[in-house]
Amino acid sequence: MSSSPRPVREEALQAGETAPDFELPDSTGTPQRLSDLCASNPLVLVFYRGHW
Amino acid sequence: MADYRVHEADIRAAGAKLAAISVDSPEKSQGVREELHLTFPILCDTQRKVAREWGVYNAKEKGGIAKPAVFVIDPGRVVRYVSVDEVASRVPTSDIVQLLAAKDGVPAPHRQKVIPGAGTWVRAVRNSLHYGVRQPEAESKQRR
Repeated sequence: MSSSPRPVREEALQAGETAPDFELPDSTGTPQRLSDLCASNPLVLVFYRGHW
Repeated sequence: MADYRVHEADIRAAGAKLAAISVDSPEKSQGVREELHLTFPILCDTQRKVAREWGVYNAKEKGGIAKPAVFVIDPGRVVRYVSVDEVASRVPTSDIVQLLAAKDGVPAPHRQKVIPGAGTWVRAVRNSLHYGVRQPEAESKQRR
């Protein structure tokens, strides 16, 4: 499934839409999957710019 | 980000989890995490894949980074709330805590492209003092 490209969006996801799932490493190298992070609870996901 | 360290307990108390995401490498992100004593995970979107798919990618700045944004994602990956900020500030964390505490109440208004209030600017200035000021000319330099 990881090979199937998803569309690039110009506008941010809107309330009510289903977010595309993803798996990314965290800073310790541990894989984190969105669907796990919000499996049984809301998730607050903060996009921040690097280089404070 | 330090703002979220302060509010993480509130977010947890509201029954939610917290995670951050940026385009930085794991090494750099872990440096930030240790420096700020963050306990929540920082996800590393080094390929900009998630930023692109979620519509928060800013190709014009610094070789392509994510816009400052906050999403509240419910079980089933349904977006409950989104705030995308076009400036170097973001929605106050206390607003997010309030939203989570409201449980199944009326969804909060969509705050895309908000004009930051005075409190936000105070925070932005405080963050700048803490972490250094970003170069305001960075965007024009990147322009081709």
